[in-house]
Amino acid sequence: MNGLPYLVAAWLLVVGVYGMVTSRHLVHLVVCLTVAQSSTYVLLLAVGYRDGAAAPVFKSQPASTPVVDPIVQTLTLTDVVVEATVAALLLALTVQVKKRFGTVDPDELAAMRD
Amino acid sequence: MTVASLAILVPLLAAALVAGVRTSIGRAAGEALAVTAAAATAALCAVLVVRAGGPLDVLWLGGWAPVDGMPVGIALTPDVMGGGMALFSALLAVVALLSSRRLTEAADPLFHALVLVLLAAMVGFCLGADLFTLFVFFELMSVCAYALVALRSAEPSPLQGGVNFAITNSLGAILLLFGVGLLYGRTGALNLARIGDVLSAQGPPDALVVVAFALVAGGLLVKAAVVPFHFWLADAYAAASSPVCLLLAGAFTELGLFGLVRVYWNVFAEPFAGHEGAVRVVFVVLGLATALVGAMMALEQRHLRRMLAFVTTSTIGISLAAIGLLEAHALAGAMVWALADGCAKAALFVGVGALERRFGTIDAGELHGRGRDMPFTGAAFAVAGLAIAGLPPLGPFWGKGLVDHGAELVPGFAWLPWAIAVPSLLIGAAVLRAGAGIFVGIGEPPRVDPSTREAREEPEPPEGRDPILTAAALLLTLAAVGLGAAPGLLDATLTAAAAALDTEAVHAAVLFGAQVTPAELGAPFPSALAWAIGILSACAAAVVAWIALLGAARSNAPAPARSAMQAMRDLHSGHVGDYVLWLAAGFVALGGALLAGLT
Repeated sequence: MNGLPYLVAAWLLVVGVYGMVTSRHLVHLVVCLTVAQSSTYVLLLAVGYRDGAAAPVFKSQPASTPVVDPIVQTLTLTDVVVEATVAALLLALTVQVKKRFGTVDPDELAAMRD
Repeated sequence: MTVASLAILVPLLAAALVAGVRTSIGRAAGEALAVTAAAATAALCAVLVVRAGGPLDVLWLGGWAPVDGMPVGIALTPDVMGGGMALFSALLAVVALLSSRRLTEAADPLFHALVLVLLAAMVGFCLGADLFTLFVFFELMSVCAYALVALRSAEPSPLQGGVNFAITNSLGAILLLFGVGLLYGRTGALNLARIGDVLSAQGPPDALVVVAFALVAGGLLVKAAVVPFHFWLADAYAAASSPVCLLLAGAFTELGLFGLVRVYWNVFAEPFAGHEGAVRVVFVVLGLATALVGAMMALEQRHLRRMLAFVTTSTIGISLAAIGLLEAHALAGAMVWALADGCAKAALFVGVGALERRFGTIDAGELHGRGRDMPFTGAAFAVAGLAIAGLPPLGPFWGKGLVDHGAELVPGFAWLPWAIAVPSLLIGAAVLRAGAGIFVGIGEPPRVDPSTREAREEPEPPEGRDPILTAAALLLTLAAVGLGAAPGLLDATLTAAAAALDTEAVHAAVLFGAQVTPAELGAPFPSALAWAIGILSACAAAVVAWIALLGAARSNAPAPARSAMQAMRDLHSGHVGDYVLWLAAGFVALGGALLAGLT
C-alpha cells in the first residue's frame, strides 16, 4: 500500500472542481460533480485497505483471517446511494430547464431569471 | 428512550404515507395528515427537551452500546440543544404546512411529503452523535431542500436557484465527507466522542487533523451560507415559495452552525486545547464578514424575498461570530438569537407571501404604497425590523445581551458587541425601509429598472386580504417579541449551552454511560451597555431606513462607495461556476488560516 490512492482521490477532486468551474453545459456540470464525488469513494476505500487482506466475508474463511475494513465499504455504498439521488435530481432539473427554456447553459438560465 | 427514534420515524413514515395515498385522498386530507404528523413530531421533540433536563440519556440503536468505551453502534444524543433545535424545526414545519395552501400557487401534493422528509432529516441531524449519521441526514435534508426550492419549475429562477443550491451544497457535502474519511483513517472511529478521545490521546494536532477539521467545518459552513460560501442562498431563497423559505431560513440554515457546534465541542475542543485563540479569530472574522456582506446586500435589494435572504445571511454571520467566541454565554446568546430572529424572519416571509398572493409581485418598487390597507402586516414588518435591529426588550435583544456578556468574559473581544450591532442595525433598516415604503408609502418608489420591467408579466388583479396569513404573521412576530419574557428560557438555554460545551461530561455519558446532571445556571441580566447598544442600534436603524427611503444615500454617496457596492453586486452574479470557484477558494483559505494558527 502506498500513497497513490490518496493522490488519485485528490486529483479526482481537483479535476471535478475545475470542470464545475468552467462548465457551460448542465449535464457536463452534473457529471463533473459526480467525478468530484468519486474522489470520496477512492479515499474511503483507500483508508480501509490492508495489504494482502481478504474481503470481509467470514462464511468461507476462519474468523482470524485479516480482512479489509468493512465499515468504509458500507460508507462508500451509502455514499453512492446518496449521490445517485443528488445526480438524479439535478438531471431531472436539467430536463425541466431544457423543456421549458430551451437551453442547457447555466449562464443563459441565470440571465433569464427575474 | 424510544421517543428519539420515533421523532425521526413519525415524519418519515408519514411522508411515505402522504406520498403514497395523495391521489386517492385529495389535497385537503393529505394536508391534514401532514400537519398532524408534523405536530406529533413537535410533541415528541418537546418530550425530548423536557426529559433532557436530567442526565444525558444516550440511545444506542439496536442496543449496540459501547464496551469499555469502544463504540460500534450508532448513538442518538437528545440533549437540550439538539432537542430544542429539533422542536423549533418541527414547529416551523407546522407553520409552513399550514400556510402552504395559501402561499403556493402550484398545488403539488408532493410538497407535503417533501416537507415531512426534510423535517425527519432535520430531527435526525439534531440528534445524531456520529459523523456519518450527521452526513447522511445532512444530505437527506439538502436533497429535500433542493427539490422544494425547484418545485415551481414553470419559471426560470426556481430552476436556476435550485441548480445553484444543489451544486454548491453537494460540493460542500463532498468536502465534508472527505474530512470524515480523513478522521476515520486517523482514529478508526465515527462516533464524535470517540474520535475526540483518540485525537486528544495522540497529542497536539498535526496538519492532517487540522485539514480534516477545515473540511468538516467548511462543509457545514456551506450549509450555513457563510461568506464566501453564501452565494447560493440568495438565488435559492429568492426563488422558493414563502413557506419553504420560512422553514429553510428559520431552521435549515441554522442547522449548519448547530452541526459546527456539535462537531467542534465533541471532537476538536480537546485536541485543539491551547489553540482556542486562533480558532476564535477565524470564526469571529468569518462571522463578521458574513454579517456585513449580508447586511449591505440586503439594503440593496428591491426583490423582497431576496432581501430577506440576505437578512438571513447576515443573521447567520452574527450567530457565527457569537459562537466563535467559544464561550457558554455567547453560545446561549446565539441560540436565543437564532430562535427569536428565526420567528421574526418567519413572520416577514409570511408577510411577503401575503403581499405576493394579493398583488402578484414582491418588488418593493411596484408595491410602493399599495399596502396602506394592511395595517397588521405592516405592524408585523415594523416590529420584526426593530426586533432584528436589537431593540430592548424584544426577543433578539436578550440573545444579544448574553452574547455581550460572553464577549466581556473573553479577553480581547470586548469590542464585539459594537461590531455585531452594525450589521444588525443595517438589516433592521432594510426591513424597516421596505415596510415603510410598502405599508405607509413614505418616500419615492425605488426606480424601476426597464430591463426587469419588460420581462415581468402584468401584475395580476389584487385579491382580498387574507386574515389567516395576517394572523400567522402577527403570531410569529409576537413569538419573536415575547421570547425573552418566557420564564426560565434564558436560564435553560445557558444551562444547555454549558452542558454542550462540557466535552468531558458528554464523552463520559456517551462512551461510559455516566449519569451527569448538568448544573443549573442563571442567565445574567443584560448590562447597561447592552441596553444602550440595543437602543442606539434600533434608533440608528430607523435613521438609516429614513435616509434610504428619501433616496439620498444612493445619489450622494462618494464614488468609491458606489463602485464598491457595484463590485459586490457583480460578485453575486448567479453564475454557478463562479460560486464553485469561490467555494473552492474559501476552503483553501479556511484550511490555510487554520493550519497557520494551529500547527
